[in-house]
Amino acid sequence: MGSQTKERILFFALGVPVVICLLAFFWIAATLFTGVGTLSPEFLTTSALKGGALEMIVGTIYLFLGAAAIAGPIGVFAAIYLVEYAPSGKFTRIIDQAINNLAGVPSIIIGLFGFTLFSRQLGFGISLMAGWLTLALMILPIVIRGSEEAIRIVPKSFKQAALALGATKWKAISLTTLIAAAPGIVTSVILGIARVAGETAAILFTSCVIITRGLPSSPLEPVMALSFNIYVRIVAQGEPPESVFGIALILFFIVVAFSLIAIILRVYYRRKQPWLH
Amino acid sequence: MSYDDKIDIRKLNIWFGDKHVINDLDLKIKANAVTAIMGPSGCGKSTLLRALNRMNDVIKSSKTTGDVFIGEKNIYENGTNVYDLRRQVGMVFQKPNPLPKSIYENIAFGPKIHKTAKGKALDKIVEKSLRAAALWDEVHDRLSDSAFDLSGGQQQRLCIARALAVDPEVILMDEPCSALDPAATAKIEQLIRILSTDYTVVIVTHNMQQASRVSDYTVFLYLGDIIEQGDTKAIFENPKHELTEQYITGEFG
Amino acid sequence: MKRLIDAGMEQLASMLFRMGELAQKTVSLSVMNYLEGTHGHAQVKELSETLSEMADPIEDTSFEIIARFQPVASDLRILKSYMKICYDFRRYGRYALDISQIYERIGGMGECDLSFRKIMKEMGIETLNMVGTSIEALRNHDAELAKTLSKMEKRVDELYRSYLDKLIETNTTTGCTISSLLAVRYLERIADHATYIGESIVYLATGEKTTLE
Repeated sequence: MGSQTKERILFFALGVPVVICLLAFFWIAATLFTGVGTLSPEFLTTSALKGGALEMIVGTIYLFLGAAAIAGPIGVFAAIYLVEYAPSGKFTRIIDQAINNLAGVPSIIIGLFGFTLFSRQLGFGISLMAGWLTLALMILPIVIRGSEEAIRIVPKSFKQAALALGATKWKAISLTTLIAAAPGIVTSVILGIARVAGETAAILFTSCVIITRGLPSSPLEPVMALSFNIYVRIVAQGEPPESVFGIALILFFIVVAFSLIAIILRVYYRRKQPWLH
Repeated sequence: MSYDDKIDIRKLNIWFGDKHVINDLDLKIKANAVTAIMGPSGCGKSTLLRALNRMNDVIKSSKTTGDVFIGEKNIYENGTNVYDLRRQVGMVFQKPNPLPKSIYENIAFGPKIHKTAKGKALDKIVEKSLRAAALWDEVHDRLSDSAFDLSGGQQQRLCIARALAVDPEVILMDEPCSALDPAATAKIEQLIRILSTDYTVVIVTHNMQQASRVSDYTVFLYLGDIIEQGDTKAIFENPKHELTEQYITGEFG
Repeated sequence: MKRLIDAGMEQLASMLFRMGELAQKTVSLSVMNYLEGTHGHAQVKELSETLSEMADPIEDTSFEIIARFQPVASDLRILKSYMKICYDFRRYGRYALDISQIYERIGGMGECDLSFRKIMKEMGIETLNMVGTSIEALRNHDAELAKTLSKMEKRVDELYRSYLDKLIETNTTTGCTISSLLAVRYLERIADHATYIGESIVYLATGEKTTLE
């Protein structure tokens, strides 16, 4: 068998998993799309009390936005610390490992942890706040890792140049490295959102209820969520899958949209970062 | 220190971890002249240069003892404002390192962080610095373009202008032309000679022809010790030390 | 390991040394012919022409080395000195030719007073010694040997002055007088150039700029 033939076989063989992924994606999309008939503007904007999906859409959005708002800054500063300030040694390696471990914890356990600490011990109960804190734990490793990466690939020459001009270490980092890493950092937050927007287990018993009376007026109130709603309808209320396709489609759309935004941002900013080449 | 010495280095010792890189070094550098520090790779030239603006401090494993007087002040004294020192002693690196900002913002960076000017005064400083670096004519109509749109030689002149913007007294250059083509190198060398009328320039180079073209005084450094120093003309015509002779005629490098 | 420049420098050194040897031969022949009263102008002329032709390649090679290798320190001093010495060798050839021509046209010192002839002979021999020394010193870049030319030059100078004194004393002007006066002048110039060569050798070896006169 000639090497050219081998190359071609390899090319196609490697292409198979890609094709499978694409097919799976489109099959899911197509299946969910069959529920699009239930999605009318009224449905999307009417309260659940009248059979609409408003609270669960807003609830999902509140949940991931709040979690991102908490995990974002903490994650970024943690990443800055780890890359620029942490002394190399055992302590830093332990922290590194801990972050990796956190990323690998099953979401149900994070939910359990959240329920115990935030809902019970800190007394937030089943609320938006408890959900924020719990989801933040899931977003955190993504933001830290992504920001670390974004900061690491910024050429050290920028910081050197700033230091040589008389900047303090923090000024050198914040005015050069951070600004250059910003697109990557933002992308990592968006990826974090994509991760938790559809999260169910973590919010199962920390923040969601089957139905609420209108939108929450404070973070201490519970919320409805799209993912939770799907779970409840199928498991608790025994409805057929087709009946939730519409809602699933909304959730699917949100997650896919955020992922796409992350990709587009990365591509857009790549052009504006000539030092990467 | 005689009146025309700008920098007086006394008993300078620098270690990186266990490695003793600079060995009990004494050196006087004359004001308003170009002094070249040359020597084979790894002899400590860049380390010596970075001792003059305390950039070695940034490296965690480094340890420095001894005194360096710039003007009348010992920059290694307790309580020295290192940030002001680096304003006073500017540095240009081997590979041009423009900041990821516009041309204007690159030059304005120094004055901004030292709060020395803003508004129209800042505009003036930017123009003055770019003119002094022989770059104004080429960029005056595109100051808001990214610094990375410039060619390598222009970027290096930008870095020089950036250092000039904070009104330094000394300019340190670490092999400033090694990443540039001959035409860009020639421009920078001309610039260096012009700058020496107003500033004290110390340039590290491994290119002997550059040292002989550009400098008034030459210091030959070998394994952390000064082997020979003097007028560039004398060193390149008739070096006194055997090692110097061997190095500059290319018998080892 | 040899440097790139070494091949060029070695080639240059051997070209220059051969020119020196030829110059020495030319001067020897011309001076001895004059002192002994032998004809040999044709040969001297030929040698002198060959000598002239050797100068250009030496100059060209020197410039090539400068352009290509940007020599410094000892290499540079050697180059500078070699170019000067090359010129001095040409002068050797030129003066040798001049002395030979005097003999051709005016005749030698056969009719001169014995005392004159004695001075001439001594001066001639001493000058030839200087030429020989200059070339020997060049061979090994021997600064010490080169410095001995100073003493020799003094001797030649003494002889020259004693000749002039004697000439002023005598009243008669014969063909011999004119011939020997011209010849003695050329000998003195050859001796001068030998000292210049000596100075160049001292400079190339030590970097010192001296005068050996």
